[in-house]
Amino acid sequence: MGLNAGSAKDSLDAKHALTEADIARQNNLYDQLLCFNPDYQIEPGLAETVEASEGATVWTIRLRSGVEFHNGKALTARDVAFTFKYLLDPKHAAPAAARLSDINPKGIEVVDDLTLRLRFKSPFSVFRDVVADLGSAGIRVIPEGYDPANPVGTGPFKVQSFEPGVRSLFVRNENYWRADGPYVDELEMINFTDDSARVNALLSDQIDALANLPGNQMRIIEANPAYKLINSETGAWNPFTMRMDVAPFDDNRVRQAFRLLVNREQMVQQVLAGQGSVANDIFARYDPGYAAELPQREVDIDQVKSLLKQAGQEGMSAELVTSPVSSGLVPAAEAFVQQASLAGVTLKLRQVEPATFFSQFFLVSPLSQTYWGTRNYLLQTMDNMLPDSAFNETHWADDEWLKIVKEGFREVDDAKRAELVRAAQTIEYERGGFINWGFYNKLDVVKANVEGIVPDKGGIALTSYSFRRAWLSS
Amino acid sequence: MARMVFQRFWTGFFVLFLVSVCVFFATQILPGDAAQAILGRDATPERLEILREQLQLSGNPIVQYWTWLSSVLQLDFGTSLANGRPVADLLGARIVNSLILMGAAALTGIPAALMIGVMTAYWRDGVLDHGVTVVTLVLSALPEFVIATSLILLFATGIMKVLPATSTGSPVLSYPLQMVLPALTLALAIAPYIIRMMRATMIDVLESDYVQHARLSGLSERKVVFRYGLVNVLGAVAQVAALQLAYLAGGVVVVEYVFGFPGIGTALVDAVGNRDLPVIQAICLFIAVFYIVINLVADALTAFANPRVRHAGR
Repeated sequence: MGLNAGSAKDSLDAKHALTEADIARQNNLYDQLLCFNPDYQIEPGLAETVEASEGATVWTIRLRSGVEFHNGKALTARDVAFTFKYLLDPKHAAPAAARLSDINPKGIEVVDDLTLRLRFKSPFSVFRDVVADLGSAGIRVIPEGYDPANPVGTGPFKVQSFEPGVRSLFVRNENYWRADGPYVDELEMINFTDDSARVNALLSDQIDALANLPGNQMRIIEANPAYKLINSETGAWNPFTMRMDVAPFDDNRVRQAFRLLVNREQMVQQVLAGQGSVANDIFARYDPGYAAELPQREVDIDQVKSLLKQAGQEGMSAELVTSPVSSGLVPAAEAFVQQASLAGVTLKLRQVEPATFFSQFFLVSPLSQTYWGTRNYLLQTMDNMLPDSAFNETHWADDEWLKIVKEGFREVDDAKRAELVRAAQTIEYERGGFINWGFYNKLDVVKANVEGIVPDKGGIALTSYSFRRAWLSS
Repeated sequence: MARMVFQRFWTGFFVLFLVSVCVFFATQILPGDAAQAILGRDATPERLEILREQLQLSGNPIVQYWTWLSSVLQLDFGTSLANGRPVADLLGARIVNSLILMGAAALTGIPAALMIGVMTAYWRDGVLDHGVTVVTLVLSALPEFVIATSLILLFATGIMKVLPATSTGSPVLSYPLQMVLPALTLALAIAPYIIRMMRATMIDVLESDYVQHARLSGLSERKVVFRYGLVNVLGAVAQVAALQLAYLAGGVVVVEYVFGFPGIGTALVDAVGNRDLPVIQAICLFIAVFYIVINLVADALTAFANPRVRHAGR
């Protein structure tokens, strides 16, 4: 199996998945309490149920029985309690800690061997989303006394060997608790820093599965019966970000103009090779409250010119900072520069390498880019739109919106929460700072004899890297 | 002779010191530090602070350099900032892999280039000579990644599927086939210059008086070419071959990257991205040592081949 984006900083430590290669390995080594299935619906995992009471300030987790860690120890509620404490320990600086920060430190209570109760400082209706997320801030369950040097989980595969940034060899967990899988005896994951090296490895039969096929290579694969293309529609988005607290983007007319400037259809064709769909500046398309009924924004040069004129920004210029921190960002920025020039707007492209981007430009530049996977709305706002969010790229601060969203975090009724999400999205559509031009498809490839890998809306490659599903047909 | 080697040895040490200073200051200029590079987008102020403390990144850079230098003098290269493993463990296997790769490229490329050089000089202006001239010109005009990609297309993914296109990270000697294409790429990169130098020098020698004399004395052509011709060319060609070998240490970075070969090249690219200073320093020092040693050996060879230089120190 060929992974991209590995590095010497790769780690199996459940406290964080820093690279995509980490997500791939950790999703096979550990399990979660719940998990999103390929249709982006929450399914039980190690927990049979996760239920709210007392207005979503108390969550009760009931574990399934008979689950064993790789070292033979039985899974109990004490392990799950340890997991939450491990992630919340400030020394570990785990990314998941921000999502769990409302847990009352004294409110982690082991009720019995298989029941754990968590008390929150304030209502937290999206807890199920948090524990089902399979991405970099996933909650991966570890045993009490966990030692990252000897990583033990309950996952479908056990570690045999691991060389950061190079490769790892996992073997099947014979005592796995799920009935469907794992099927393959060994799982070898190899890092390829270079996109073409990864594709070449597939074409010369060195790997059976490839994560994240570059869009421009799609035709080669489609034409070849030896491979199957896994084309997944996702909710992942790579928007442009406008800082709403500084000129010129503090003026909503300028933001509206920029949102009408981008040719979304052309973006999807050029940047995603047609493998994606046009978006309408809002995100979280699989959220039950997604405001799909809002009129689709189209490119409108006359309107752009008139809005900019009203704002006194006719023929304006701005710097657009881009970086290859996620695939497709730089091509999108290049395309945007072209499209802007049609309306007399001059965008100066500044491309910097990733470490420079995050240390000097991210969250700072008035006009830049970001990247996010599939999320439901409220969970996503925790990352980048709330006052205490770590990554508020657009410096969004809207009281009316915040009131609605806070109500959403308190609302346990799914239908009512969806209504609140819809209202919040409408506000963001009217005056937000994201230019979300599209949701991209994830393209993965497996050899014709690899079965079980299916399209996944979650935005993580190869069915969220759940290789327990995979088997080889003869 | 011994004094020359001794002197060069100390100059070499001084050069290494300068290299380490340059690398250190170059990495200080790079925006962001290891903590930032490791965390990427997750670099919230709190997490940065914790990680910086764990990695001991805060503090005076000059003091940091001094600490590093004094442990290197005791042959302790420190631990990688990216994953906390000792640099020596991390790079040991990779250095061996790269040396094997460069060795394979040199051992195939240089003798073949020397032979072809002699042949084109001997049968100059023939079909072989013209053919070789065209091929070497084309090869020397192509960047390595183009040669690499063409070889992959030819032998691994397109026309024939006989060799692996990339390395899968397993130790080189456990699966030597993964080395064929990268070694061939490097050999093709260094051969053209050696061929052309060899040809030019050999032509000079073959037209020299002593070769004419040897011919007139009735020696066989083989003896003329190999005993009188080749021996006198080697001194000059040793310098060229050394330059090309030294070039290999740098060229290997690009070629390893294209083939995903687990050597120092891929490690260097990754370490720069991670701002992993101890690893960057160790790799640069290794490449510098390689340059110095190769040049030293070449000078010694030249001196040995040339009686005037050989006896000059007396």
